[in-house]
Amino acid sequence: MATEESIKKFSEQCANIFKQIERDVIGQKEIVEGTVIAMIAGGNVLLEGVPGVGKTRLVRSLGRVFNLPFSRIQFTPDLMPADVTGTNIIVKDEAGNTQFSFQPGPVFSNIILADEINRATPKTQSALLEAMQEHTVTVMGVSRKLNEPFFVLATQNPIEQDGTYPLPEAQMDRFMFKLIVKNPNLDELMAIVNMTQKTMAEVADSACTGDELLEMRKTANQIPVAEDVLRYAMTLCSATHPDGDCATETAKKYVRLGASPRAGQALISAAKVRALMQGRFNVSYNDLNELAYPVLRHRMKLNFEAIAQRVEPDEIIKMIIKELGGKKATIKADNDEKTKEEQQQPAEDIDIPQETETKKAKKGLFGRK
Amino acid sequence: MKDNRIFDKFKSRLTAEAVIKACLAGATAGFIVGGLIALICWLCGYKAGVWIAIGAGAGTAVIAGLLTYFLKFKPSVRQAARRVDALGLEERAVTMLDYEEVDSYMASCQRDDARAHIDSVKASSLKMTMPKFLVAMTSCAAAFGITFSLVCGLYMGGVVSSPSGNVDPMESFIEATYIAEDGGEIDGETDQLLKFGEDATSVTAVALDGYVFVGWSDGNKNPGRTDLKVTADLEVTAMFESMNDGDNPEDGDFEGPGNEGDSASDQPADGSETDGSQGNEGDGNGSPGSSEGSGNGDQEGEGKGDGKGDGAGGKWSESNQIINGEIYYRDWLEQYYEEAMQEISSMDELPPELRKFIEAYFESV
Repeated sequence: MATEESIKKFSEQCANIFKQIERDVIGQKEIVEGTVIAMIAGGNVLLEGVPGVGKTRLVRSLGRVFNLPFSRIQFTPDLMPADVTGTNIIVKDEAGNTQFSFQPGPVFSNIILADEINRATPKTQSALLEAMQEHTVTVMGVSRKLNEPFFVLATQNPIEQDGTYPLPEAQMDRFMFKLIVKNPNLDELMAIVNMTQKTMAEVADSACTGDELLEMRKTANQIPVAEDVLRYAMTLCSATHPDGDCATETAKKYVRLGASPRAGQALISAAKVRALMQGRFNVSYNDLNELAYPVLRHRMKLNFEAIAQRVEPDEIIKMIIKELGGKKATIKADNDEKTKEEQQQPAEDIDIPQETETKKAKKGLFGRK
Repeated sequence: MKDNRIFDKFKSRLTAEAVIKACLAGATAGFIVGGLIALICWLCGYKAGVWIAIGAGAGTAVIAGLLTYFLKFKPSVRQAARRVDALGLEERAVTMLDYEEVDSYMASCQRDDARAHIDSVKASSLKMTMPKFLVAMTSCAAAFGITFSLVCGLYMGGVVSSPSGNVDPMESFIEATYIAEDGGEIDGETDQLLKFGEDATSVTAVALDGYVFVGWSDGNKNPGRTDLKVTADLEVTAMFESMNDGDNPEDGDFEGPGNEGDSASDQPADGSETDGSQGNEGDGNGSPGSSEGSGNGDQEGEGKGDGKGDGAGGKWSESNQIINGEIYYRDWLEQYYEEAMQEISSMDELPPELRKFIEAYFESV
């Protein structure tokens, strides 16, 4: 049950988390916020970006900030499932008898960094399926529960595709967010170079514990969601299906397979966290529109026409939101002036300064184009 | 706790907006119904249709306006909440409504937060919006309804005609046809198109040489006729007889076209037949010139001629009425008219009313 104290603590811990991460990670505010939202909501994150943009450093910093055990698995083509999950080995006890003993793999940790996850074979990638969804690992017919909180933060390189194995749809669906890590801008680059010239050491301190993170998740889960907003969230997910009742023209044109029900769950869970992080006690259309990009972009299977025309998933999501009636929310990613005019701006006599500033700060959230 | 009263300050604007929308919807329905009725009436040639169209359109507009207001546009609390949220409250109001019965700390915080934000919103910031589709529909319906009501009105005023060809009886044309048999001709317009109740122009049956006019097919014996206030198609034939045929003129039984009788009456008996000049039915014996009128004001005169002419077959008439097939009764009339006028002029002792009456009589003759 949420209390005044838990809500206050949530706000303080969020502010502290961001503050500590900023000490290690320059820029990438949208990525940091998205990752933190996913972790509080209990989701896994797939970070996609070219090498050297700070993906691994971010994940390591998160491990330090949340004061949680951290494992790194470098995925390679010869990585085997047992290398991830662990295996039974034969050991001799004190009496000299031999017996099987389970040797836990790196997955038995709280934060897993699956670096370059698409370089492992599908067989090894699939070893993470159960861990990501059920938070259990089954080896030799014995299921073992993973420690909570459990997160998989995976990275992949979108450029070097030789010798890689694209993640199957089932695996992709288990990531709550797919975040696109962009190159830092000039100012950020200067700050990064200046900082790393002094020291490469990570200096972030712990901001909260695993138990506190679980408490924050419970608090966020109690954020009310109006029926209208919930309906819009489900419509948004259903609209990605080319053959559904809510199918949009964009989906019919560019999408072969739409988002799964997990997308709806992820959207609402993440929207609740985002609302509370912004000091709101309800989910808005704006939350859903903002989070639709990281939630849906990896869950849609594009058809040949989209690939041939080089239409990116984010453009498709933007078109779907617009088709569903962009008036319902402020679509910040839409730089089109015409669309901006259609949006309903707050009246001049409404004084909500903190939200307006927050909106400006969140512009370009989650690395959308 | 019910927070619905918090939306009361927005209610007047939302109600006004709903009323306008309902008016537009009602007007749309009214214009469409009125226009359709006007169109149908115009196509069917029914002149009173414009009034029916206006009445039906107005009735439909009122009913449709009321129905749409109460069934569709009347603002509910949830609609008010949605409108307020659209002002930038990020769905605080609708969430507050959905969770107004939930007794949790988070819901309580949400209600407080929403109430604070709603209180900060001025009612004037809620702008009235009209659906473009409704406005466009109303405009099109208005154009349709007004156009065809106007057309129907113009049709009623006689400016335009109905495409169906149905003509109102009051506006129909009547044909008056005067035909001459062998032996004569018609002096005047033989084929006349008249409006309902209009007077026909005068025609005169003129016999050719060797022929004599014996009367019109409708029984009128007067060669000159002016049909007044014609209300139905008229076709009459002037009949002539050769002076060499028939009975011996010496028999004197010709029943000629006497101009005697009570020709003082120039008023048609039923307002639709002929003037008094054609009501003269001579029963004399061919000497109408000396006849003595004894009119009683009726259409049918009674001539009492005592002439001794040759009658219908005669070659000469004492009254100069028929000479070689020519009719000279006008000259005869004019001569006597002038004489009478001179006598009247010389009779200074006549009272003015009587003088006027006599003069009018002769002028009518």
